[in-house]
Amino acid sequence: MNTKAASERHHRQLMELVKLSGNDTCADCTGRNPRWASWNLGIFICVQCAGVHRKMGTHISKVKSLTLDTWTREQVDSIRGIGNVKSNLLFNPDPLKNRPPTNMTEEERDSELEKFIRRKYEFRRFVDRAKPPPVPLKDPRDRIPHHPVSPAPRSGSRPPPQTPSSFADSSPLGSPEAPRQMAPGPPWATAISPGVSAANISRSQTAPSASSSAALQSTINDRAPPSLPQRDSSRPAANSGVSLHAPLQFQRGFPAQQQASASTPSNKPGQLSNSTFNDLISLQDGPAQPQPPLQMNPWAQMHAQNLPVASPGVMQGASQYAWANGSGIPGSAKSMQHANTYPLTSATAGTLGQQAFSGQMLQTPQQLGYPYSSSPATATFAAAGGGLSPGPHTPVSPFGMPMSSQGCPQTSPGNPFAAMEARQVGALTPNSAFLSPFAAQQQQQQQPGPGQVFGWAMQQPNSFI
Amino acid sequence: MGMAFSSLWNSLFGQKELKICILGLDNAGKTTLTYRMKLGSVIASAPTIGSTVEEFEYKNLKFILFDVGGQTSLRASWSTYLASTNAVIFVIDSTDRARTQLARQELHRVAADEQVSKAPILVFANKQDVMGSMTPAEVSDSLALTTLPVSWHIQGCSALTGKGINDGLDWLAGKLGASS
Repeated sequence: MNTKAASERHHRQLMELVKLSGNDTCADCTGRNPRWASWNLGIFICVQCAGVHRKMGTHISKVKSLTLDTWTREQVDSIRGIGNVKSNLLFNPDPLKNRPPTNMTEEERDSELEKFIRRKYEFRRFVDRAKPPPVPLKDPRDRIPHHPVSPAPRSGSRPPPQTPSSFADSSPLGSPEAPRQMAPGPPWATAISPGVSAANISRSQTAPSASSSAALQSTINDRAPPSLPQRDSSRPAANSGVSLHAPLQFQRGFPAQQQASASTPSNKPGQLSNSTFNDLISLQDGPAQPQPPLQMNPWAQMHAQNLPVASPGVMQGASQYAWANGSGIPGSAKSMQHANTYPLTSATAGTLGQQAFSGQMLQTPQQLGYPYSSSPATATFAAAGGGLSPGPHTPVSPFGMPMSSQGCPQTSPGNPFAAMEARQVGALTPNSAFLSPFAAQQQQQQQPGPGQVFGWAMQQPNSFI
Repeated sequence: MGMAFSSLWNSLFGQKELKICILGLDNAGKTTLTYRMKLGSVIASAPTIGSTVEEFEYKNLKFILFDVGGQTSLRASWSTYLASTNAVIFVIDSTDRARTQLARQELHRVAADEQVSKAPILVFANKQDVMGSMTPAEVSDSLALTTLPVSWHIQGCSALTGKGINDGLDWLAGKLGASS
């Protein structure tokens, strides 16, 4: 698939793209001749700005070199679909007001540049929230198959957990997003009418049927508010794209994730579709436009879309999927992971102290629950014992996730913070103080000693000592 | 008297020079880690093109760090840096779950290189300061460290805060100090 010929072709295409007007200067500092790119943001940047982009993390910007890296077709398509001009229209629509730092010493410029780029992409300070953002993609559905990781088998066997009333009680059509559903969309996007039975929903989710979706869509049309916001005709591509974002999917998604992400509106940098598409959508319920958390939440929608039959039990799978898919780290998943796994690395270190477990006590396989047991090695654990030993083979810590997945559906959907608190209290009672990254950092700083906090070692018996 | 002189000599000139290659995918934090080890502080780094070499001392050992860029085409040159290396530090971006499989491939490719057959591999699960990052356990799992043919150690760390780095270096110093 990724043959040499293909990579050369992609390289040629990139070289043509970077010559286009707008792409021939760095999207951030306007330096000439950029040789790096952020393929999920779809921009060409210079090497200094690439350094800052990398610093922000791959959940915001996925940086690649035009010349030193091999590119996949999806990545080239992503950057072709956006480009510097479109991206700056979104992230910095007023470049005269928000200029990149210039005329400084190199050291100042580095930190100022980092501030500028973080403001621009991580905090989205420059985004003009008054108007709907342009959507760079023709159709996000085109992108979904690019991701081989599919949650369908995981969710397919699970029953729908929520009663029909939980769908019908809300009024999704009050959302300004409602008219966008009129565009032909996937069947799940049409199964959003209040009053639709759970059976209908699950059928249309699992077995897409043209007739049922047409019928449901007509229901939507009937219930759509009379005064629809006029779409800007200069953005024709947005219509089919946003049709995926049907409000009811947010109702149907995972309450805790919705709340978690709604409570951290600025923390939604992930791109499930390897593009800014979701970012663009998420901007609409950004901090400047507070909305009820269930009304418009692309992350929950993404989960709903990927896991058509939502159940509390799927939650764990959902967030794992979001990770495993890996093209982005959706804010909801991120915050959940934060609540669950992070304290186990740093906070358990705090509570357990810096215990260094030597290998002898961990030689028995059942104590480890880990592949070490199958190897003839003697393991030396120098780790936060509680964080690692109970079952490090599970991608998500046994402490956090099961608790949270039970707790979330019980919390009131109206309170975005309730789920977070419930998770924190339920899952991490002894360590909840360390949920704050700052607390954890303080903890780290207070314990600079030689004790190993999160790590462990293994010595092969035949090692060369 | 001879013993005293010997120990004095050793303390003055007994530093062993150890060549260490720092490898890992791009944006794993290799350069930041290198300068954190050398300077004890964080520098603003840009992607490494080619490689940089830094020296620093740790526990009477003199480490010569070869910090090699991790971009795809630079990875092909890793093997040229591995000649007569005493140890390998492999850095993982613990937040980048999408590329753990790629990291696993690269790590195993390095470990299979006969030039490192006697070199211990220290795996730094970097960026532990980031919320939601993979734990060292998860990293170890996804990298299939247990199947590595060489001596290895995984250590969670944060190049930004400095946390965990000395612990990893302690292991490395122990291995290398004991090895001769």
